[in-house]
Amino acid sequence: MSADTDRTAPPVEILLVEDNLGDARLTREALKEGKVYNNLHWVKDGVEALDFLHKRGKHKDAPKPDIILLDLNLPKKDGREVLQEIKSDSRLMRIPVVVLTTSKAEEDVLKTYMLHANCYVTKPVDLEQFIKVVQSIDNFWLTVVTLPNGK
Amino acid sequence: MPGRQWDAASKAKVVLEGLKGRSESAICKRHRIEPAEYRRWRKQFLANIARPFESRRVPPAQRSSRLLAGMSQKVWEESAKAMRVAQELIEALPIPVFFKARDGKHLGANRAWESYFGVNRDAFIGGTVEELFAQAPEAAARHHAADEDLWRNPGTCIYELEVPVHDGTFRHTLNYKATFAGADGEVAGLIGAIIDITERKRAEQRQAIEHRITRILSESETPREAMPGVLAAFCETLGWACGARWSLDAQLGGYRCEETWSKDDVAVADFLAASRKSIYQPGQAGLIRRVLGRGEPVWIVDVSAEESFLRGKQAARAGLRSAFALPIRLGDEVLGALEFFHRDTLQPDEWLLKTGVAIGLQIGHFMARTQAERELRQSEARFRSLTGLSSDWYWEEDEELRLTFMSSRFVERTGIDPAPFIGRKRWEEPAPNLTEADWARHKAQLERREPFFDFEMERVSPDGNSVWLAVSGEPVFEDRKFRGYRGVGTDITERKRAQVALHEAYDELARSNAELQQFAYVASHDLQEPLRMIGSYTQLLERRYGEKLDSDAREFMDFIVDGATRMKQLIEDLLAYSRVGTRGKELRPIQAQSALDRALVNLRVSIESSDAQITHDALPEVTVDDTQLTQLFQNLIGNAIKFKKKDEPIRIHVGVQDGGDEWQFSVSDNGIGIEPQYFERIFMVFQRLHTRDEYAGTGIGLAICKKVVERHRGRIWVESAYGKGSTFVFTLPKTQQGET
Repeated sequence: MSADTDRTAPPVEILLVEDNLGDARLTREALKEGKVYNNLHWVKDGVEALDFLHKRGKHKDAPKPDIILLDLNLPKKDGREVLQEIKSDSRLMRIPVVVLTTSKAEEDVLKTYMLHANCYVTKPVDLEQFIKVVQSIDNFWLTVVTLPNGK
Repeated sequence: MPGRQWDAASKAKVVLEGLKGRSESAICKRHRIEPAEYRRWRKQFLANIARPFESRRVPPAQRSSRLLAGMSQKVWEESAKAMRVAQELIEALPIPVFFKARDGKHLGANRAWESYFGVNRDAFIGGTVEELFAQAPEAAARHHAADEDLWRNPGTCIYELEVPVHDGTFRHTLNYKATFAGADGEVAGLIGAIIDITERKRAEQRQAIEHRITRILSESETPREAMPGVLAAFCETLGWACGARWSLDAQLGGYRCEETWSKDDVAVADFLAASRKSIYQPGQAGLIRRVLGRGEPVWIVDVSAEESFLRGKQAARAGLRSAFALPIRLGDEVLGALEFFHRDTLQPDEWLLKTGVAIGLQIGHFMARTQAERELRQSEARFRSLTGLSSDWYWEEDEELRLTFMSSRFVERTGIDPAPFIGRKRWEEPAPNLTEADWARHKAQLERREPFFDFEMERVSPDGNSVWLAVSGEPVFEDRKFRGYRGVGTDITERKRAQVALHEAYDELARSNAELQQFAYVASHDLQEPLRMIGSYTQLLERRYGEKLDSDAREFMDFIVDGATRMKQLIEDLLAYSRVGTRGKELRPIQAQSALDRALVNLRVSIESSDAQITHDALPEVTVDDTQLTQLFQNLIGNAIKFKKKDEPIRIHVGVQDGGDEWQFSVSDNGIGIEPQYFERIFMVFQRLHTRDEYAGTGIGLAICKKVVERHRGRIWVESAYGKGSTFVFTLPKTQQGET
C-alpha cells in the first residue's frame, strides 16, 4: 500500500490513456496498492494523449512521462495510431509503452501491424490479477527502467 | 430425164442401190428419176441377171430360139452386155445376194453369200431355205412366209430376221427381196440381198440397255434400290433368265449375294434364294470368285459341266445353262459383280462381254457416287446435329474476314437482324465488353490463321438489351490457300446473366461473411469491457468491504465473479473459433513433429500433473498453418488428458498413415470414450457432453479442430466405443493449392 511507497525518489510520471472510467479508476486503485510513488496523468483519447506528449494546449506544462499505459480502443484516435506516432517520433520512442488489451486477439492484431509495444497486458476480469499486473509494472519500473539512471 | 444419158451400167448401179436396202423414193429423189422409170429399170435389170438362171430351167432346144426370137442383133448384143455387167456387179458385191425360183429352190448366189453362210453355192443350187436353216426352223419359216407373200404380190419386200450363219452364231439380217419376171412376163423367181445389221442392232441394244440402266441409276439413291431394275434391264433386253449382284462383305470377309432378279419362275426363284444364303470366301474357283478375284468377266457355256462352279448343279436343276458374270469396277477397284443365267447354251459373246464391262463401270461409278453421297449426307447430318446441339447458328467469312453468311438461327435466337453485319468485319460492330486490346489479340489470332473458341462478344439488340454471343471459328483452306473462316455461334446471354448473378451472390456472401466475422469480433470484444467492470468491481467491493458483509453476500459475489470469468472464457473461445478462418496464416511445408512438440510444450503442466504417457509415430512433412496444426494437436491431446478414466494411467498415441494423396493422423487414448450418437455433435460449437462440474471447458475445442482441418481441406471424425477410449482421426492432403 501507499505506506511502502518510497517517497524520497521523484515520482514516476505515468500517462494513462484510457477512455473507460471504470478501467481508469481500477488502474488508479491498483497503483495505490503498489510500491511506486507516482503521478498518474489520465487522458481520455488518443488526440489528447498526443497533445500531452507534445505538450500542446492545456498540456503545455505536462511532464515527459516515464511510462505510458495505452488502451487500444480510444475515441478520436485509437491506440494503434498513438503507438505508431510514439514509435516514429525520436523524442518519444524510448518511452516504454504498455499496451492494455481487452483480449488476446487484439494483441495479435497489433502484431500484424508490426507495431512493437514494450509490453502487452490483457486486462483481466479478475481484480487480483489486475493488481498483480499493475504491480508487475511497478517491478518493471523499479528493476529495469530505473537502472540506467543509476538508481 | 433432163441432161443425163443413162447407160446400162449406170441403170444397174441405181437398181443395186435398191438391192442394198435404199428406199425407192430416196433413190428417185437422189437420181432425179420418176418412180415408174426406176421400176422399169429394176424390172429390166432383174430380168437381165435372172435370164441365165432361168435359161438353165429351159430346155436347150428352146433356149436359142427364145433368145433370138423377136430380137435384133443389136438388141441382143446390148442385152448381153447389160447382163454381163449386172452379173459381174453382183458377184463383186460385198453383201450376200441370191436367186430363187418360184418353187423356192435356189438358183444361185454370189461369193459373199457363200462365205456368209459357209455353204458351197454350186452344191446348194436346188436347195431350199429349210435346208439352209435346218438348225433354225423358225428362221426358215419366216423366210418361207415372206416368199409366199411375194409370189402372191410380186414386187419387193424388206424384213429383219435373226439367222444362224457360217460359225453357228445368230446374226441380225435385213432381207431385201424382189421378184423378177421371165421372158413370158410371168413372175419367174426372186432375187434376195442380205444386209447384216447385227452391229447396228447390237449398238442399239447396248444403247438401250445403257439408257435404261442410266435412268434407273439416276433415279436411285442406293445400289439396293437400283439393282433389281438394272438386272431386269439386262435380262429383259438380252433375253437372259435371271441375274444377281454380289458384293464383298468386309465384316463377313466373304462374297455375298445382295440383290436378285428373275421372271416368275419358281425353280429359278429357289436357285436365287439359295444364292442369297451363300457366302463365299475369296478364292479362284467358281463364277463369282473368279470375277471378283480377277476383275474380269467370266463366261460359262454350260453350268452343269463346270466342275468348279459350286452352284452349277442347282442352276442346272432350275433349267439354266449358260452363265455370264461381270465385275463392278471403279478404276482398278472391284466393288462387286453381276451374274446372269441363260436357259440356252450360249458360246462366249465378245460383244456381250464388252457391254458387260461397260455396264460394270457404269454401276461402279454409281456405287462410288452413292457412297460419296451417303458419306456426305452422314457428314451433313452429323454437322447438323452437332450445330443443332452445341450451337445456335453457323457463319462464314471471306478471306478479308468479312461476314458472308449467317444462318437463320441467328436472328431467331438473338432477335438481331444479321443483314447489317454481312460484308463487315466482326470488330466493325460495337461490342461494349471488348477493349481495343481484346480486339487486337483476336485480330492477331486471325492473322495467324488460328482457330478460336468461345470468343465472347456483347451486342445490343434492337430493343436495347445486351445479347452475349460466344463465337468459335476455324480457318478454311482450299488448295493451301486461305479462304476465310467459318464457324458457329451461341447465345450465352442467359449464361452471362447467371454468371453475373452468381458473382453478385458470391460477393454478397463474402461481404456478409466478412461482416459476420467483424461483428463477432467487435461484439465479443466489446462484451469484455462490461464483464470486466462486473468482475473487477465486485472483487474490489469484496476486498474493501468484505468484512462488513455477511457470508451470503460474499457467496453471491463469488457467483458474480465466477459468471463473469466464464463468460469471458466463452467470448475468448468464440473469438478463437471465428479467427480460424479469418486470421489463419499461409500454408507452408513444415515437419508435423515440430507442431506436435510445441503442442506438448504448451500442455506440459497438465501432462506432468496427470502423468500421461504420450507416444507417437514418425511424423511426415505437411503443408499447413503451423500454429493451427499445433492447436489441433493441443486440443486433441488436451481432450485425451482431460477425459481420462479415474483409475487408469493415461496413454495417448499420435499415429499417422499414408492414405495415398493424403496423410491420416490419429490421436488415440484410453479414456472414457464417446457414445456413437454423439460422434457428430461433439464437433459443434459449445456442444458439451458433460457438466462443468465433471469436466471443465466451454465445448469449443473440437469445433475449432474441425474448422482447422476443414480449412486444410481435410476431414475429421472420431472412432470410439464408450468406456474403451477414443481415436480422433483427421486427414491432411499431401498437396495444398490456392488456399492461404
